[in-house]
Amino acid sequence: MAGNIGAYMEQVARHYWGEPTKKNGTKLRWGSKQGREADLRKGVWFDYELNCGGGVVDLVKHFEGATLGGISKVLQSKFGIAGRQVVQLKPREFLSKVFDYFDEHGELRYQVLRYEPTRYIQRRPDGDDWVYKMEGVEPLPYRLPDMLEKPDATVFVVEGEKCADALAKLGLTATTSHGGAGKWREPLNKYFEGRRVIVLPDNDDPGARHADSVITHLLPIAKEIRRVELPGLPPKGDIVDWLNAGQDLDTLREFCKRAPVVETAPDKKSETPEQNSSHIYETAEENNSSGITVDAEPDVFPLMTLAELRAMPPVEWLVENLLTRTGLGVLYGPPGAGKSFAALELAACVARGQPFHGLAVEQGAAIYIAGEGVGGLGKRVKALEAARGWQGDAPLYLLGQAVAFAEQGEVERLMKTITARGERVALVVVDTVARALLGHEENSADSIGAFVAACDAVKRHCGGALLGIHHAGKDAARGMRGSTALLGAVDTSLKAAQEHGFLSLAIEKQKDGEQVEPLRFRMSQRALIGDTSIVLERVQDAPKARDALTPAQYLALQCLRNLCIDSMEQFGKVTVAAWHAAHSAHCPDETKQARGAARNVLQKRGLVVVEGGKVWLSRDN
Amino acid sequence: MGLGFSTESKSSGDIIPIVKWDAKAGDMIRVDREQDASGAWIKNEEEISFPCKFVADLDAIEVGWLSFDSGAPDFRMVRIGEEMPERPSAGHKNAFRLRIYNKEMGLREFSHSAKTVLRKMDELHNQFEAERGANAGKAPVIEIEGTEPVRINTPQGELRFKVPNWKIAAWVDKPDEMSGAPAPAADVPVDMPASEEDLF
Repeated sequence: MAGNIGAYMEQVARHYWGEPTKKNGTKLRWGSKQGREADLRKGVWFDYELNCGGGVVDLVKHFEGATLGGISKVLQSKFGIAGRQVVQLKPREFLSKVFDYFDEHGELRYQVLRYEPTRYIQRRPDGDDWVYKMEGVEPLPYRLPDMLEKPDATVFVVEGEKCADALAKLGLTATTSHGGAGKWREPLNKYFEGRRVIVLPDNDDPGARHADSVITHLLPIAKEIRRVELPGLPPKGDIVDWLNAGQDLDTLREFCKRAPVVETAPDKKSETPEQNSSHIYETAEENNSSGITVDAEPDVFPLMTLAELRAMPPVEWLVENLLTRTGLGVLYGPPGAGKSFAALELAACVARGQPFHGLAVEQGAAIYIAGEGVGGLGKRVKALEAARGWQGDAPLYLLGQAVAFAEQGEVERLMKTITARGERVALVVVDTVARALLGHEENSADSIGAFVAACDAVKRHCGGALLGIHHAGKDAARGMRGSTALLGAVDTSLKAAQEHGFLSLAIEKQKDGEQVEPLRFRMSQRALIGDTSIVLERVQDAPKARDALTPAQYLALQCLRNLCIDSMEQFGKVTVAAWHAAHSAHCPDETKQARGAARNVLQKRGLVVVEGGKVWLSRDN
Repeated sequence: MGLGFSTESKSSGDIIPIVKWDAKAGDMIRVDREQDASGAWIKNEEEISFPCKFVADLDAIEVGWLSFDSGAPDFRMVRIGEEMPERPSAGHKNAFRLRIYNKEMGLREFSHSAKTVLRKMDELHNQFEAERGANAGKAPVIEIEGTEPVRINTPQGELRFKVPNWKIAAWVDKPDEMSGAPAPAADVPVDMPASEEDLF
């Protein structure tokens, strides 16, 4: 089965339009005036009478009038197009995490599913299936078996399973209730009888009210309750943010010790516990029919006040002036410009907490998705580490296959992969956007929208930044390839270009920062055992035109130079075929087109001479 | 120095004796030079039996180009990660140079340019990089347990070579003999064992 749904254009067009009236190469036409056309090479169609067109999916939609979900079924049933070929642009929602709720016997009673963009759904097991209704299910404290295993341990009550897991990772006993703020229920109380409890509210009004509710419920039965307001929490921040900001267990313990014991129930501004609880049940019952939990708060958009705006923290950089801590960036440029060298080093710097050519970085794990192959990355990393003097391990992980960002299952698998690392992933590099959108139109705003939605989901899931590597258009001066929706959606756009043969990284768009001067790099070939690889060296002055080559061009020239040396004469001629073969063997990651482009530049610049099937180094070289 | 000639004399202490790897036979050979009664230099070669262990100065391994075209080895070496020198001639092949030490043979220099041996050295160096963080300030002890056969198909038929089956077996304090920068290579003619480097 072809990897591109466009390959099915002929089959689908013939199904709806019948036998074509004219065939011209890869173009088919229908109708007496031949007003309908299908371009099999591009996988697109156009109806000149109706003035509409599109891809395979659009053609199916044109005739079937179905929703995208329905189209998937049509594609499968009528044309046998299944699996990766089925477009899954909607819903742009991804399962991020699954939280299990066990009872006192260790039996799974229900789960909370977190989706990105943020949405929670609850479900309970029913044989081999799941029921997305919580009717009749008794609520349980999250991580109940842990609580029961340590009956004397102080229990930290937080808002959200993620926070409870973060504290459990530190060796503390922590729990929460499902459903978020305002969802503490009476049946939970019995598990806290005689326990020491510490309540850690989130830094917002719903968080404060939730803490009030928990304390009011537990005060009559708990042995002791302390309410700990963590200092320095950002607006809407929680214990995870606090820990990520560099605070540790000892500091938390100190604050807990200092916090006064709660003696009286909080002054309820709005609801009594009973009212609150009954209201929650009512809401929960209503929502259970759809399986979707909605906060008890009014269903309105949150508005920020001027004071909140002023109190917003300054921009946090993952890489100073280049990429924000939770930003979406794109690094684009022509093939062979050195984009991947820069992106790989950027990821390595983040993983090691080392400055990126003088720019400060925040340390965290980094995942590099090498959609275009892993082949040369090993030696690139070795050369980089040796050149920088980096030793030992670092949390830089390579994912050696493309992840289809337009497919829900693939994105969710990536999220699971991130979760499985069990550490904060500060940066995900997607190399390349084209590979992540394989089978989808880069020119389509809808495809790019799906890609951006998936990127946002991954970013929110890991709490870090995402950098996509993308190609420039045919006319590099006109920006990146494909839909301009990508440039509009990203926070940062970095343009990689050749400036007299040096790599130049210019900030084309920086939503949250100042424009800064482009960074310029020289390509330096570094020695390895039996091999070499390119390492970037930053240069301060604008480079001169002479001598400089792109990495791809440099490697092409090196291959020829070695062949000529092997031919026993410095300016000996070798066959063009031998050069191509050596170049291909030395640069397996480069596409045939990119290798050809690199060789052409060498020829155009007069560095090599090609004549009569032979090639040699020019005397000036 | 008006003519640009070097008048510095090199003491024999600058010359580190070598061990070499015969990729055809799969032998590791120590090479020593001695003067006989007439004052002529003679070369003694002695096979090292496996298993054997030695400390390797992998932290200071050098890589680059090596040629024996002129009889004497011509090294153009740098440390890993430094700028690769230009290849001087067709006779210069990718190579490594490494100092090794054990009590029996003392400090030795081990170099090779065969791709099969380079690959094995690269693997060994990967293990070194992976473990060095947990063994700061120490040097790896390499154990050669035997040899591994390597078969290469060529237009002339299949050729067989043997490469060292080695691993890092332990980490020890760096011997005093290895302190200081790597010495320059012995500029004496050395017979190289058969090499398959041109076969790829």
